[in-house]
Formats: sequence, structure tokens, C-alpha cells
Amino acid sequence: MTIGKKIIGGYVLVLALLALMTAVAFYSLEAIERAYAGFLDVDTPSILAATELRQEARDQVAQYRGLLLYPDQHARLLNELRESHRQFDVLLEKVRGLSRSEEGVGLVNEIADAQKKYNEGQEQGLRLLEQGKRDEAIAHGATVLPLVTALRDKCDQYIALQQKQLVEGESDVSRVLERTLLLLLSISVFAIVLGLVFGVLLTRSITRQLRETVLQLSSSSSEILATTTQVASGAAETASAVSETTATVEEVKQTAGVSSQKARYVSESAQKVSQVSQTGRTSVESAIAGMQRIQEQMESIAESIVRLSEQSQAIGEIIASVNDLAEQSNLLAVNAAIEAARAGDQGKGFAVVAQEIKSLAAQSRQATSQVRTILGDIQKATSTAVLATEQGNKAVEAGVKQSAEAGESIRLLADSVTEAAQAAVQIAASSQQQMVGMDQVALAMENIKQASMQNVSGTRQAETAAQSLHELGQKLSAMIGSQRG
Amino acid sequence: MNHQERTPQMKNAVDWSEVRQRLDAARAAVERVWAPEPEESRRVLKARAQALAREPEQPPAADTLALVEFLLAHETYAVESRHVREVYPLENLTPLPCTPAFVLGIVNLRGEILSVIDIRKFFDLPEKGLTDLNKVIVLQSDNMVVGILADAIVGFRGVPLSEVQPFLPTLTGIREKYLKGVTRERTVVLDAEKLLADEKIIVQEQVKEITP
Repeated sequence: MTIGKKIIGGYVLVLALLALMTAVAFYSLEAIERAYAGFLDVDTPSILAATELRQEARDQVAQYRGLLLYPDQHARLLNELRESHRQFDVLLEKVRGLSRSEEGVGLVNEIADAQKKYNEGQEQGLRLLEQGKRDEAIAHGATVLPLVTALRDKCDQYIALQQKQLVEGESDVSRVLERTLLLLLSISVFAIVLGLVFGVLLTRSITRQLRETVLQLSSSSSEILATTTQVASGAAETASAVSETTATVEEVKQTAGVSSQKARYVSESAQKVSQVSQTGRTSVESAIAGMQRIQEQMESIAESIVRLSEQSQAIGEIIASVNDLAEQSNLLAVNAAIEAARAGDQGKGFAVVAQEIKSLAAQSRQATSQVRTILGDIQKATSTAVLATEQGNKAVEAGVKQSAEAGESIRLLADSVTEAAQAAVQIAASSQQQMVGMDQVALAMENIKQASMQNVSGTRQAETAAQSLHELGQKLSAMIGSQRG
Repeated sequence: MNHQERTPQMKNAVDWSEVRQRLDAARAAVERVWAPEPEESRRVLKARAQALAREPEQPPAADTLALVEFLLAHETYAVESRHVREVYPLENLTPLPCTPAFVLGIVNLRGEILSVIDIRKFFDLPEKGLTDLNKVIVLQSDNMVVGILADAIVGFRGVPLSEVQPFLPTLTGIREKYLKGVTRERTVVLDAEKLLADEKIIVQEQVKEITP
């Protein structure tokens, strides 16, 4: 329950009591006023009217007497009398209207009866008077008088009754007034007591809460004070750190500039290397082409050697047939020699020819044998040459393969170098951006520096505010009091 | 060819001009063989003239033995030329069944059917090493013609009778029967007459029918 609600509740209670009291007072006043209005509007006018009635009756008596006494003024008095009667009737109706009690109404009726009687008596007298019988009229007057007296008595009685009623009403009113006063007094006392108790309770609860709050406020403001002090020192440290950071950022900026330059240099170098590797690739390709030409040459050499070998084989065949021919020549020579021997002396010359043929055949055989040896050498040599050519071919193939690998390596190298060049370009751009970013960072650091300065001043203000808050708490505490407000 | 063989072995730079020179020299040498220079041909002709101008070493004596020498199983044999009709390269040998082992078969020599024998088997010589056996020596007597196989024909030679030693004590048995002598060059001279006259060489064999 908030303090406001409590206070409002208390006020509402007190105001309700006040309203109740006011209502009671108002009601009482209303009643009293009504009573007084009754007195003023009814009882007093009825008394007055009754008094006037009595007066009128007396007037009538006087006028009647005047009529009796002063015949010259008969007309005027008669008029007055008539007027008085009418007045009396009016007044009587008025009194009748104002009468509230049965007793009063009865008296009014009695008055009316008495009036009637009196009137009739008067009329009788008046008739007598008109007849000129003055004396009789005067005598008659003696009879009318008690009627008037009775009328007056009745009027008096009525007045007395009304006065008595007035007195009773006054006493009633005063009693009501006393009761009302008592009631108001008691309600007031109750309201005062209730208000006091409520106020005390309210004050106690509010002060308790307030005291706790103020205590919390005080401690909190102390803490805030300590914290703001710390924050102030922290802000100062931040300011110095920011200064250091700014210096560092400047260094980083310079470094970024240097790295950007280096990256550009690397990029240029990489481009040069890429060109060189391009040249290397074309060289390797031409080397491969040369190797392939060498291979073709090797193949043609091998083919030539094989052809030579085949030709030497043909030579061998020819040599074989020559050898065969030599053999046959030898046989022929032997046969010729046999025939020559058989012929005896006639065959001697033929024997010489046969001998020559035999020697020729032997020489031929020897020559063929030499040629065969040479052919064997040639065969061996061609085999070796073919073998060497094959090895050379293989070596060239390996060379082609290695050249292709070298070309591939150079291509990969070129690719790598190109990538490196791109990377270096990116690095250069990045370091450029880094420099720009570092500028921004430096700017931001400046802003941070200013902000931390503002922080310091703000913290000072906060410190002051916390100080005043603390004082305020203490004032509040003092205001509330130590124990019971 | 030899030059080309050497060129791949040269590890370092090849002197191609030298190679060409050597090739040219070889070609020139080859051409020179077919068309010899005047000096060379003169030299050859001179040598031949000298050779022809030489006196015969020995006048042929009357008591010489005309021998036809031949090689058989790495040994030199000879027969008298008067028993030899001719020598002939062995061609189209047709083996004959149901004959002794020494009869190798028959050949057609210019329309004449001739039986061929292997005298190694005939003489029970040890068979060692491979031999050519591609020559036939046709032996002839009055009533007999037979071919003996030889590895090669050495030639025709006249040998003085004094050089032939008729007696060789180490040879005995069947060999002795057909031997005529041994020359100084250790050529075994066979007695072709006895060989041709031998009864063994006439094959009279009948094959019994194999009844199942």
C-alpha cells in the first residue's frame, strides 16, 4: 500500500466522518429550521391573526357601539362594520388554515360559532336600529355583549393554546438541539480520536518506510559516491590508455603503410616472376619439341642401323653362296686333278690348271671367312648401336617426360606466383584499407578521448550530485528523526 | 659401320667433321677395292708374276702315289686317286631300310643309283663330335661302285711311295686289313681296292616277314 493511498485513505476516512457530521448537522439544522419555520410561518402568524381577530372583534364592538351611539355616522360605521366582518372572516379562514392541532381547530370552530352568534346578534341589533328602535337596539346590545366576551375569550383561549404550543415546540426544538449537539460532539470526538490514531499509525508506517528508504538512499548515495570516485579514476586511466592506444594506432598505421609498400613490391616481383616463368614454359616447350625431334632422329638412326643389319645379312647370304661356290670350285679342282692323273702325262697341264683352281678356291674361302668375321663384327656393332639408340630413345623419352614435368612445375609455379601476385595485390589493398581504418580508429580514439574527458567531468558532477544526494539523505534522516517521527 | 658404332659412345661433343671424314675415307677405300689404284694393281701383278716365275719345287717323280685326301672326324684320310671316280657334294640322300648300320642310304648321281656308306661305322671308329658329312667320294673298281662319306675334301696330292710307311704296329684288326700306310703328315692312306673287294660291303640280307 503506497503512502499516497494511505494518506488518501486517511483523508477519505476523516472526510467521511466530516461529511457524516456535516450531514447530521445539516439534518439537525434542517429540522430546527423547519421547526422554527413552523413557529414563524404558522404559530406566530396564527397568534397574530388570533390577536387581530380579537382586535377585529373589539373593533366591531366599538363600531357597533358607534352605530348605536352615532346615528349620523351610521353609513360609514356600517361600512366599516361590514368591512370588519369580512376582515374577520378572512382572518378566521387564515387562522383555520394555520391551525395544526385538533384542539386549535375545535377552538377555531368555536370561534366561528361564537362569531356567528355574535354576528346574528349584531345583525338583529342593526335591524332594530334601522327600524329606529335605538333603545331596543341598545338593550339588545346588552345581550350581544356576552357573545362578544365569549368570542374574545375563545380568541384568548386560542391565543393561549397557540402560545402554549409555541412554548412546547420551543422546548422540543431545544431538546432536539441538545441531542444534535451531543451527537455532533460525540461524532467529533470519535472523528478526532480516529483521525489521531490513524494519523499516528500512518505517520509511523510512513516514517518507517521513509526511514528505511532514506537509509537505503544514504547507503546507496555513499556507494554511488564511492563508485563515482572509482569511475572517475577509471575514466582518468581510460584517458591515459586511450592516449597510449592512439600512439599505438599511429605506429600500426605506419606499419600498415610499410606493409602496403612491401606488398606492392612483392606484387611487382611476382609479376616479373610470372613473366619469367612464362618464358621458361616456352623454353621447356621448345625443349620438348627438340627432344621429340631427337627422338624422331633416333628412330630414323635405329631404322638405318636395322636396315644396315639387314643388308649385312644379305651380304652374309651372298658370302655364303660365294663360299659354296668356292667349295664347289675346290671339288671341281679335285675332280679335275683326278681326271688329270688318270690321263697320265697328257693331263699334266690340266693338273696345273686344277691346282690353280684349287688355290683360287682356297683363297676365296679364306676371303669369305674374313668377310664372315667382319660381318660378325658388324652384326655385333649394329646390335650395340641399336641397343645404344634404344637407350638414347629411352633417355630422350625420359627427357621429354622430365621436360613435361618441368613445364608442368613451371606452370604450377607460374600459377602460384600469379596467385601470390593477386594475394599481394589484395594485401596491398587490405593494408591500404587498414591504413584508412587506422585513420578512422585514430579519429574514434580522439572521440573516445573527448568522451572520456566528458566522462571525467560528468563523473565529477555525478560525484557532486551523489554528495548532495548523501546530504539530502542525511537531511531527510534528520527530518524524519532517529526513532519516532 | 665401326665409326657409327663408336659415335653414340662419345659422351661429349661429337666431332661430326671427323666422323664425316672417316666415312668418306671408308667409302673411298671400298671403291678402291673395286677400282684399285695403279700402284696397287701393279704391286699385285708383280707378286703374281713372281709367283708364276718360280720353278716347280719338285719334279713329279714316277713312283709317286696320287692321293685324294679328305677329312673325317677330324682326322685326315686319303685314298688312291686311281680308285676315285669323282668327288661330289652329298645331295638327296635317301635312307634305306633293312641295311647294316654303315649303309646310310642311296643317292641319285646323274641318273646312277649309288649306295653311300659311312666308313667310321665300317671301321668301328669312335664317334666323337659333330661332323658335316656332306661330301661323297665315289670309289670305283671293275665291278663295284660305292660312295663313302667325308666331312671335307682336302685335295689331290702326289706323295712319294717312300714317304708312306706301310706298317703301323699300333693298328690291328680290321683296320689293318684296309690300311695301306701312313704318310709323314699322319694321313691314313686307305686301301680302296680291298675295301671295294670286301664281301661285307655286298649286302645280302633278307628280311623275314613278321607274322602277327
